[in-house]
Amino acid sequence: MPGALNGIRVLDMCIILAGPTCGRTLGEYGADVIKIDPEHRKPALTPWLEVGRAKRSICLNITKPGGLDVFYRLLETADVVLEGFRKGVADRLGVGYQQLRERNPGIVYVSINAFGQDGPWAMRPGFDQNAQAATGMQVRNGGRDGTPAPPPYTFNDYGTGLMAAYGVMLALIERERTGVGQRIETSLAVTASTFSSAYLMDYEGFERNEIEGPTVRGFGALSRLYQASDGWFFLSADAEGEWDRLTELAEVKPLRERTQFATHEARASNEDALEAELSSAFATLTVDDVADRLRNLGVVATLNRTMADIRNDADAERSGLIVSEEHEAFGAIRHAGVTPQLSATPAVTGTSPAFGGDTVDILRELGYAPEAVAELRAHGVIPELDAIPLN
Amino acid sequence: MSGALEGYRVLELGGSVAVAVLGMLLADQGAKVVKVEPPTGDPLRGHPVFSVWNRGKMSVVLDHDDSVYRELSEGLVKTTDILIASDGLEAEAANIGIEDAVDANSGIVYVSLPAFDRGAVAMSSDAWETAVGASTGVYADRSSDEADGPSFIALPYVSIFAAFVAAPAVTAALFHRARTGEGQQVTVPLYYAMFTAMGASLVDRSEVPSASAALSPVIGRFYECKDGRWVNINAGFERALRPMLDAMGRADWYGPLTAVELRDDEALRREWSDRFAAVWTERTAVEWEDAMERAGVPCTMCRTTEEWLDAAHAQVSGAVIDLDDPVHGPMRQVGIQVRFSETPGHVRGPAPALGQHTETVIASLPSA
Repeated sequence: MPGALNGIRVLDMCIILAGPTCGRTLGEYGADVIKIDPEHRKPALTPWLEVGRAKRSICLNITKPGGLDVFYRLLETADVVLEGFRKGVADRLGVGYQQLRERNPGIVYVSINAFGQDGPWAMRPGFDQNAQAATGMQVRNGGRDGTPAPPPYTFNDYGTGLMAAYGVMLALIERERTGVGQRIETSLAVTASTFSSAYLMDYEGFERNEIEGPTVRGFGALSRLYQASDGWFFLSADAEGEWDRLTELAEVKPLRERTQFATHEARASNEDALEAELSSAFATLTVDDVADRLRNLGVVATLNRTMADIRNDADAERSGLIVSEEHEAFGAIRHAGVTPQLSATPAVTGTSPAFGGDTVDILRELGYAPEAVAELRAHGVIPELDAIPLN
Repeated sequence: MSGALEGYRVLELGGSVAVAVLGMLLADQGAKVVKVEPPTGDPLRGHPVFSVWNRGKMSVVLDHDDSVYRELSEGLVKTTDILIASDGLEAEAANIGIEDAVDANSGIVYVSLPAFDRGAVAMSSDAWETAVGASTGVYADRSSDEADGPSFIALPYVSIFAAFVAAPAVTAALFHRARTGEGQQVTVPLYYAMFTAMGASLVDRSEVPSASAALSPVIGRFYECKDGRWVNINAGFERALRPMLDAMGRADWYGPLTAVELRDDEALRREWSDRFAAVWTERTAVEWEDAMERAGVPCTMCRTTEEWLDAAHAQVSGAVIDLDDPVHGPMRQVGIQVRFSETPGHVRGPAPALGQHTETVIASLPSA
């Protein structure tokens, strides 16, 4: 079944993670995504295997003689352009929005950067961590008196790429209606702000109470990480009726008799004591035993997993969440699979191309004869090698 | 100039965070989002963040026990483009399961955002965030020596990330419908979406050896400055290391910091690490931030939430906006996630009162 973006061509000039995530997402929805990189900006292999999927790859240097012409020929056939240059650089190179829309008025042009295109920091470079730092994420994770710390995953990079893909979909829907292209902007700082939105607010009377620090375990005694004898689990038993179910567990049953835990209000006033009791009750049990028994009682108890646990999870492979492949260029590899499920136009997990591996094919498609291709090589517009190794 | 989703209608069922945030993303880009609530209201109504995630939406109260409930639900489903439910179970209970919805409206884009795969054990949606978070390593121990134990994160990263995965999925389906008239189902389990967030952490490549990643093993990420504030830097690569050292007045350190000997000599590495860290104590965090911006090096002071709320850049760039809320008064909250030159998004208005639009929405339904 063809994807939702069947027939849409994307030119992806982004590097690192956020911008290329947008390109990959569009490819997974069926677009023909052409990743454009100059030979000297070789990516490292691990990120290429992650955000390079579902694309074709051309090594092209638009600053060399004839290079920009190749790009403009590609532009004529394209619907979407993705860029992540520092503000002003795209214009200087000849690939700014106004320059491209003159040649292709329907083009959807996406700019992805750290801090946006407006404001005092518009020129500031930054990665996912810089957006975390600016928006309060790192101080919160480390605690105000501690060393700032990042969250466990690069949420901002991937989130910003997804928001850019959302923007592309909207612009394509609009273009279907009106024929008009437009420019779209997303930034790491706005994505990071959205993750923090429950705390990122102010109004008269607002009481700031951020749960923070590296040794925080949960919201309260009944919604919290607990340590069993051989691992941790998350207990969620703070909703109505759940105390009765929790105290069916033999090791916890005696707590029912304690007046300090008898009602919801009493438990709220005696959080520390309750937490201490539950901690000692659970500490004697293995994590599998306590979680199973709690679940059988209808109480939510979830093993607290590590990355190693997840990588070894056979169910994840069966569900297609982790995919193994024997790659032509890179050998035996594993990576994530697509995660959203669409019934009529499924998203498809792609594979990463060899770096520069589609250069000659793409030029041929554009109508470049072998002599013209040789000339591009001679001028350093495209590499000598057909595909460049990565590591 | 109006949002790209102007004219599109969204029916929002269920009180999960992921559903609310997805609805916000759509409302911010011009969609008319009708939020269906029980008589007791969305459970999030007690929390200040309700006013953020539900801005610009309409609220309709439908009571399952009301005899006209089924007729009204059908009417709403018939006249929507997108239906968002937390999971199939909730929608079934509301008599708006998938089969009913598709029967009533063949072009509908039916979205569900369950915690785990469809068919997994039902659990109330307020437990979803932490159950999926625990399952997907969000609370793993992040200390290098495992001395801290697992670190809980109170913000709903899982649910918000799932909404981010869902937004392009839903609009891909809308684009397909715009081209073909065909609707479809879109399912984004929160657990599944987290595998997109894990991203490169899941990549395994056994046959291609890794080139050494760090240009210098001495360059870290966090440094304490003269004023006790910290900066986060990302400068351990060729294009940043030289300019950073120049801006620090230590251009001659490039050789020693990239010397091969450093990799094997722990004592020498510690010596240089201490020396490097000491330089950051020469200026305040903001002074370093400005100096590094001029040098083109990514370096950011680690701010608090309040500092970002008040930062000139956050306000001018639109990362935060001001909005008048009927409950809280003038509020500062997060801005719009995506900006467009021709169809700019904007916040349509504050979050609605419970049932504020019940009468007008029902009056607008085509009569049976």
